[in-house]
Amino acid sequence: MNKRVMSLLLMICVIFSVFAGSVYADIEKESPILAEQVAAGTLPALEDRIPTEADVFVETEYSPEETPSYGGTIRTNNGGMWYFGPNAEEPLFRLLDNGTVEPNVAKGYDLSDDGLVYTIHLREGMKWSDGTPFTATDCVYYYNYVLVTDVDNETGKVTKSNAGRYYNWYQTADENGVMRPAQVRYVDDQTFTITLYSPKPTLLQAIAIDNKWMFCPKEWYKDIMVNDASAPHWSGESDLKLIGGEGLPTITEEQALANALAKSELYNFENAAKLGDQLGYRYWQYAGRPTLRPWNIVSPLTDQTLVFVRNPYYWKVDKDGRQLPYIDTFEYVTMDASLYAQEKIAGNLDLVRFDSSEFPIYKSSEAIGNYRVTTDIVPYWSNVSLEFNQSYKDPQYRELFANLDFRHAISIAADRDEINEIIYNGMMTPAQFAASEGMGDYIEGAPEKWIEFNVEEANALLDGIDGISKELNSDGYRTFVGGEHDGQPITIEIETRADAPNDAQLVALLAKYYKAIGLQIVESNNTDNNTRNEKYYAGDIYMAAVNSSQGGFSVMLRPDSVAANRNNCAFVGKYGLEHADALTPEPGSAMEELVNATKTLLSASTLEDMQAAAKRIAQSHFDNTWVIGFLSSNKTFDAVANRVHNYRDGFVSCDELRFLGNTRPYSWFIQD
Amino acid sequence: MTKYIIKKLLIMALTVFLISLAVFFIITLPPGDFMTNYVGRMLAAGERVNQEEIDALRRTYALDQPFIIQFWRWFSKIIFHGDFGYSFSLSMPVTAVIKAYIGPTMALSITTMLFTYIISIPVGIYSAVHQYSFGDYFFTTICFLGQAVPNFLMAILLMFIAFRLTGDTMLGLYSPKYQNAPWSWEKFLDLLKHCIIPVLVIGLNNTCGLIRTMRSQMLDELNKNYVMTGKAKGMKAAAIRYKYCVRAAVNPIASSIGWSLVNIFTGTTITAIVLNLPSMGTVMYNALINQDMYLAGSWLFLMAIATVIGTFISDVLLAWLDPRARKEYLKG
Amino acid sequence: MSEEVKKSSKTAAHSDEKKSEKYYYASQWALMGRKFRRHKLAMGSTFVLLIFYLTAIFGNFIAPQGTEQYDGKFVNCAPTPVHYFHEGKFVGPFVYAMKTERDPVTFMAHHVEDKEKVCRIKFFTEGDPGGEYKWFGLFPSNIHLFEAEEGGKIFLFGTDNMGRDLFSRVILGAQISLFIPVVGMLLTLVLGLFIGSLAGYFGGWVDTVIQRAIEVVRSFPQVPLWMALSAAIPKTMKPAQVFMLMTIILSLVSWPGLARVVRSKFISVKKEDFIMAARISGAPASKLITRHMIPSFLSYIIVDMTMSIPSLIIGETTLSFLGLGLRSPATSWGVLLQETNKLETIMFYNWKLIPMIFVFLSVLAFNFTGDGLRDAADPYK
Repeated sequence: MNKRVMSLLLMICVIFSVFAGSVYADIEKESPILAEQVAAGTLPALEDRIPTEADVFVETEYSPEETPSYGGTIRTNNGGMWYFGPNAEEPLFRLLDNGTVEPNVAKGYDLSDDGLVYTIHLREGMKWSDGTPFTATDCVYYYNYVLVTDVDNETGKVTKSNAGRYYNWYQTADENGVMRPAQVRYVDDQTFTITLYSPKPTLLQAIAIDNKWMFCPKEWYKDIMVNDASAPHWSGESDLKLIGGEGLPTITEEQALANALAKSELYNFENAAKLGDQLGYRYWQYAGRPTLRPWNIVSPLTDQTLVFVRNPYYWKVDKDGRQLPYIDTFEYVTMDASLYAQEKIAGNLDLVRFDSSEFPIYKSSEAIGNYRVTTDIVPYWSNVSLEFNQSYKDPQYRELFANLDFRHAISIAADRDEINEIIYNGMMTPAQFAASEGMGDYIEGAPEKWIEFNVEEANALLDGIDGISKELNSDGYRTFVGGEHDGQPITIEIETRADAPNDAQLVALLAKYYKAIGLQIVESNNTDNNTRNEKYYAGDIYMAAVNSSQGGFSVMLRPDSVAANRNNCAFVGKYGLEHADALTPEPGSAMEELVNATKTLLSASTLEDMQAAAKRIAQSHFDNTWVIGFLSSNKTFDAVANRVHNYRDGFVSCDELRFLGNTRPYSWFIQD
Repeated sequence: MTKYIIKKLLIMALTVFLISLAVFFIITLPPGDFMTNYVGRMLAAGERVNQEEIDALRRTYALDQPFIIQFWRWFSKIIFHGDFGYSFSLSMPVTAVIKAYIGPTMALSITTMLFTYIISIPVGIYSAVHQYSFGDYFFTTICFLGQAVPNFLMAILLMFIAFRLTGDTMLGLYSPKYQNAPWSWEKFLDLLKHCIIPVLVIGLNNTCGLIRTMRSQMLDELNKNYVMTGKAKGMKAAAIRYKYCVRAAVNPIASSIGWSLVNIFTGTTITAIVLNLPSMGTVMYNALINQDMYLAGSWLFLMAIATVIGTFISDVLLAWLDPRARKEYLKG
Repeated sequence: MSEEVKKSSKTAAHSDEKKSEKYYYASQWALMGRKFRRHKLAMGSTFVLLIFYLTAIFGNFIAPQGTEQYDGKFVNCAPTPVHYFHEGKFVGPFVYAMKTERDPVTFMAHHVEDKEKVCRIKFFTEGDPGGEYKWFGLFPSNIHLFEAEEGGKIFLFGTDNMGRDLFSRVILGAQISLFIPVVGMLLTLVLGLFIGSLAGYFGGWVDTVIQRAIEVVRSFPQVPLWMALSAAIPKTMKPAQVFMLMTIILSLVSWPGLARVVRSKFISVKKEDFIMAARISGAPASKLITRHMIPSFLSYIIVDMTMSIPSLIIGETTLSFLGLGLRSPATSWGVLLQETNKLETIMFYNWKLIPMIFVFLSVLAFNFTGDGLRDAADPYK
């Protein structure tokens, strides 16, 4: 047969298959690229790849009304692992907008009457992306051999460096207030139990928010996770009863590193800690690691474009029983953030997220770039805020920052309307740092407290503070009276963030506002967040910082940025309970109340107690204005290519709900 | 000649060692170290880290050791194992990063160099032969302009023009469509299309310089006596020009090939940042910003080595072409 | 021929003679000046540079705004047109008052002229509070060259994303962008002359050590080395300190080139008779170097240095553009151009490209001036 005839025949075949595809689209249950592999015999049939009919996850709420065709590629910017990770994340239980959880990877759970034993049920026939079965062994193994290997079982203290920190969320207080770890045990392939020391009503939320994936492919990991005498669990042999199934081999650090490298040259790590951290926790960046996600990375991290392709064993189907996702490929292109807008306008990116400072540019270019701008709801307490370190090492400054009149003056000396106009195109609302109306932690009047621009009153407030002068020095600044800094001007350094180009603009404005009340403001410019974070860790060497996205979804479920638990919360400083060198607040002080409320929240064992503690924390912010909020809009925006359909306008976007993941990207589809 | 090369090589070895010392000094200059930045990013992502962990990581990477020990660890690994250390920010060995980027970087550099020579030699000859003609003035003006506009501005302007003309900014090396497509004629054309701006931007500066050198060399040759002799003997003017003058004029330019390559190689740095090219320039910039010291240092080191080698090649070429230079060097 | 005519022709001949005598007795520098003045392009360029530098020196007076001033109501405002005729009547230079409107859909701000309100441009007026400056860092003042009457705003080059007057920022930026290269060059000159003459004069091991050092520094590609060094500048430094460090960095990278030239010049000059004569008459080494040797090739060096300024201007601009040099609110042309690294800026706010014209002009002007100087210094031309 000559070549021309061959190509003609081929062409007919192609045309026919396209035609057939469109006619029979409604019965196409899987992506054509997978169907091809099935036909070629390189992939099992669909029903052998997804869970049994009774156990398969049927996505009804997000299914599109039309019957979309499979295929296509979404291109977006590479915003780093925490951008592309959550887009394809599959937690054991997933958090919903209303703060409750629903089973996701898990099929369901039972809770014992005493609230101590959670029995988790898994889906039968579910498989990892390499086709190996997903069972309870994978969950129990993860908890006991990956998560807990760094934790001393007796004291619950983290002894080594990596995954152990996520362990906090399975701890509950005993009678003496000592935190006790949970026990996780294998029952059968579809069942395992979590046994707590005392009840924790929000355990499932904690799993959904803070330890989203409580599982890993045991078969894949057993050769690369250190399992020898250095592991806390080590008793000389593997605990068959603990994980069920086969036992575990003894693996030394050298063996682990060599085995990892043998799996792929991408797994080239310096030591076991790094390996555990990268492959055990941040695994979605590494090609070849089996997952339960809709798309998996296939390119090395150094590639300029990271490619994620569909998981043939993905376990969710739409309302018509068609396997998800609809879109075959995700591409994340690495480029400087300054290029996003132009690449979006040039039509080279399908999706870009931005805030109101860039709104006019994106909105005006919708037609040129063939995209639409959608709005997301962000449940933060403030979009721009300023916090003063309550534990700053210098006593004179510390005393000043602790003075409520000072913070009051700072709050009302700022012209919120001007900030809004200059930086945010007038699209935000002047507001104090507080949960806005409609959020669970809302307190009436809190968002409006102390936001009226009033320089005179601010000056009067500062005049009333002891230890600082009423008069201005020759440069126009107030000075300290008495103490070490007697006669020196009050100079406050504000830390800015590298990745927030608006910060510099904000501090430039603040410097002008506070000069009017006799305070000198200096921007401590951190080009890449490193110095700034080091300061946060030291806890007492920075004065103040601008921030955004503080506060959040729910104080009770995630108090981190408003309570005194973490060691990197700017206003809390060294009062953070996790700080290695934590300070005890002065008895009777407002900070003591915040610290106590935090402690209560962390150790509470009933929902009522937790809610009450969360309320105390919110109230403490209302009473003390720990953080000075300037603007709130509760909105960010997405520029979405018109060819992308079923993208949810107005979704709630925050870390707890996994940002874009909350739109369920596997239900998007492409139609040109 | 052998003696000349050996002497040069010995000096090269010493220079390389001193360079490495300087490089390591430079990369330890920034306040703070990589760890703090690494921690910063983990925090930004809502991770939990504590001081003990940071200290442990610091110890692992010998960041708490004195300068000379850190240097020796770095240098001996490079020399004895070809191991450039570990890129903290990319979580992989520096060698792997370099391997991933060296290809496109070299390809871009070599394409640009070809462009540079293909354009500059004929234009230089043309300008010299038609001195003070419209064409000569035209090229001279272009050259001046080309050297007056900083690379990054040229890149931005061309990008804008490209957008106005084609609706695409021509960033990167491929259109989205071909990014991961298998090699095909269309993909190749697409690549060529995307190469226009970078090659123009990177090459323009060098091209301008070369055109000017070529022009003046050619003018020198054209005024030499042998041209007159040839004419007197009845040779055709074109034959004299292209058979003798060009040959003689090209010599110094050919010997500068080593320097040119290095110029272009490093010239890609800024253009790559602006045009988002998958070149080492972008990686180096990010590494500097992130204080990923081993990566930034290795790259600077490699570029310095490339310069040393480029200079060596040029020197040898020059010595080979011109015995006077060789003699003088051995004397002095 | 009358006596008178003879006389006058005699004087003419005499003055001619005098002229040529002057020419033959003229110093090397006078000769260079003479030749340079004939080079029209170079003269024009020098004139442009003179204007640039004078403007920069009197920048605080000429610029209507100081570096820290801004007008929040006029963010991203296009250049204000200056009018002379209002409703057909000549009223002298004036601007119309401006209103700001926001597009209800895109929230894009539009600043439009209010054709009713005429605001004359006043000259030598007291500036807004915040525009205070000191003449040469000594005498405080707030007098500015021009400003619009109450209610009007004059932004000759438009404003940036903070409502800062671009015209003022270009002028104030010139104080950095035009002076860093010159100071850097002077520093290079001092370093290069000093080190090069040490090597050239003494020779031996001093020469060897210096030669090695030169080779090492020269092995570094210029731009990446600049980048690496600038990345190490602490972020909390004051603009003045950053300025100093930038000049040091720029000259640190460029001295070896000069030192090498100086060294080779020294080696050749050392054998000249006039040096021998000076040495025999007992001149000490320091005097020999500074009085006799350096002046003999200084003109060459100066030309060389002038030619190197453009690359320093481009260097500073590039570094600031990449965010590795000066940072806002300190201003330099590179800082101003940071905002243009985006297609959308060029699309919507094309006046932000204006600083580019100044980078371009000054580089070109230095190139031409350098060319003129080179030709002037060349005795064979």
